[in-house]
Amino acid sequence: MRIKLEHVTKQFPSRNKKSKDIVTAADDLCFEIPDGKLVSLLGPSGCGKSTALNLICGLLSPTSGKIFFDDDDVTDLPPEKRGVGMVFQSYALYPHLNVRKNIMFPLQNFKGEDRLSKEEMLKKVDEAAEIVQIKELMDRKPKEMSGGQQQRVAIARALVKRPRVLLLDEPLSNLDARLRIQTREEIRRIQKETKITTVFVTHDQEEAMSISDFIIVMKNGLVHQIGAPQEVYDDPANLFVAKFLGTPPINVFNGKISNGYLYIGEDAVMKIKTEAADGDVYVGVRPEGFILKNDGKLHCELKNVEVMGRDTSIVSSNKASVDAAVIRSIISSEERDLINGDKVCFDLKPYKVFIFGKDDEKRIAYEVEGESK
Amino acid sequence: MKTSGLKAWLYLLPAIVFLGIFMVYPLIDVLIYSLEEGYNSASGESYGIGLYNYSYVLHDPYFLQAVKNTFIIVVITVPLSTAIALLISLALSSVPKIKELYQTIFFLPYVTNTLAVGLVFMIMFKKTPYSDGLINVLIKAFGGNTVDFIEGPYWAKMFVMCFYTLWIVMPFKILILTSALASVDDTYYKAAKIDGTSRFRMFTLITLPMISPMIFYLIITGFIGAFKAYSDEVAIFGADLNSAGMNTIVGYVYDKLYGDGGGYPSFASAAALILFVIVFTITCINLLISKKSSSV
Repeated sequence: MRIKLEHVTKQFPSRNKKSKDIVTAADDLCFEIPDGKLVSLLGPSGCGKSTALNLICGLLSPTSGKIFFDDDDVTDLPPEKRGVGMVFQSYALYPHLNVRKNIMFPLQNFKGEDRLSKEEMLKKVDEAAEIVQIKELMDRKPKEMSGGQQQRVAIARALVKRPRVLLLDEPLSNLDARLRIQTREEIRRIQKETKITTVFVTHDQEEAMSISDFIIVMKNGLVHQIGAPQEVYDDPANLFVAKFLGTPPINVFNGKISNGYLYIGEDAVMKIKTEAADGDVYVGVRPEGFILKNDGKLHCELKNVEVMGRDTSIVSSNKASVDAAVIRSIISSEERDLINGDKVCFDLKPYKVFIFGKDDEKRIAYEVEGESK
Repeated sequence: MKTSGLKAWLYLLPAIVFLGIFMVYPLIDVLIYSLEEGYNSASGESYGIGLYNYSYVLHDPYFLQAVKNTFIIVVITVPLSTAIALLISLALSSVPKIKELYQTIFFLPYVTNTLAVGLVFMIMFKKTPYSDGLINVLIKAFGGNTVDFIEGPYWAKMFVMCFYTLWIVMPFKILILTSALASVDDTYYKAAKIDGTSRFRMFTLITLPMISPMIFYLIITGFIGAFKAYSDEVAIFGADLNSAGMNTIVGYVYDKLYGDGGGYPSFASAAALILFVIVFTITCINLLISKKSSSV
């Protein structure tokens, strides 16, 4: 099912009772989630992604704007009438009920014509348990299971009533690193199997990149960019998106555009063509955008070489670097032999270099040697 | 190995000494008193050992009356006070804005002096040749017949007693239950709401199981407290509870020690041990039930 948000805004009164400030948790959200896709709401904590999720499921109602499921306006519908299934960060499994009863819980709420017989319920519970592969755990209590198993039960409980939308609120953040990767693959598999429209809230960009059909990047209640994972990574709309996606993070430098050249600090690194006026800019370079070269145009002080096996990361410093004094560049292991002395020089791969305006931090388009970017 | 064992005992010594002198020794002594027949507290001598004290107590009509009174108070006030306290706590948690104000009001009885409150109750319910008392004025206003609740029929006195007991024990239960309700994670209700759970089912399937340990705690301590009731009775009916017919088991023990018919530590000890056996049995039954229901 398609979900559409039209100019949805949610405001809360300030926590501090004395101040009359209003907190805008979701600011004029407009986006559409196509049928059967898995979409991530990605952003740092407090960016409004959980608010957006609660608005979609109906636990919160918007201050203004409309929410549509397909063509139905569900803005004023209570959560139980929207047909959504939700998985909470803490799983919210009822501790005194065993797995079977937990999964059956939503079915027992059906009233009137929808009411199911005990056999039908058990059949549906078995089907849901089958999808998440926990059939052998049906008689356990939640506390007798690992975090990953509890997670599966929570997903089964959300799926058992065949919801039109599955909502996942930071579902992996209580799991350890290895289990997290396993479970996210599992969620992807379940989503593909059931073809259910899924919204996945996370603050972990790697999670969002690996699992989603597309990503909605949010900050301070605003949507900053919507796009497929690779697209958001390769073509960030602004400095925040560029910084938020990618590990290790993008390297940001103070630079300038002058006479058709892009400068980082004092080094003219590229000859570019752009419509933007000459002036100061931010230059973002992905760690994999550096080419180690003895006569490279960007000059840095070598700090450290970290060998990772598959590749090598060079930690160096440059005065023009903005956030941290260090810049991190990843090169293949073979190139390591080129490093000698305490200076390193790089050329830059143009499509890994982004220019952002100094004031609004928006992307500035430019071309280099005919290659458009 | 040996020195560390010695060290452990040395660390435990203060606790053992204090517990031994002030808990274990008195308990054993009460048992001995209760078995010594014809014990004379002045000479410290007795005729011999036997169960005569128990037999005397169990055949004493005052004691039997006290047991009956105690049981009636326990059976009426413990379930009723817990149920009403739960209702009030639920009501409180559904009005978050004025919750604190009401919580304070409901908690007031807990911090007031029970003897003073008992006096006020007595004045409200008492009927004298000069005045009917507030309650009787109200009864009259609704067209009923006046009753002397303090020196009148047994059921009237028992009504006042239970009413007063409820009033005294409720605040603590409300306090415990409101905090128990507040400690239930809100996410459970959110999850249940998304699944369209009715309020009744939310209460019986989520709230009750989650706060059941606290409810059992209140019932067990409620039973123990009600069995040991004494001062509340004195507050309303005065020190001579036997003639008022409103004595309790603890009151009987006190009377046998210090009251007008007092000076019989052996009888008092026997009565105290009978009370101990009753409380112990009921507590065990309670614990068994709570274990069973929490493992379902």
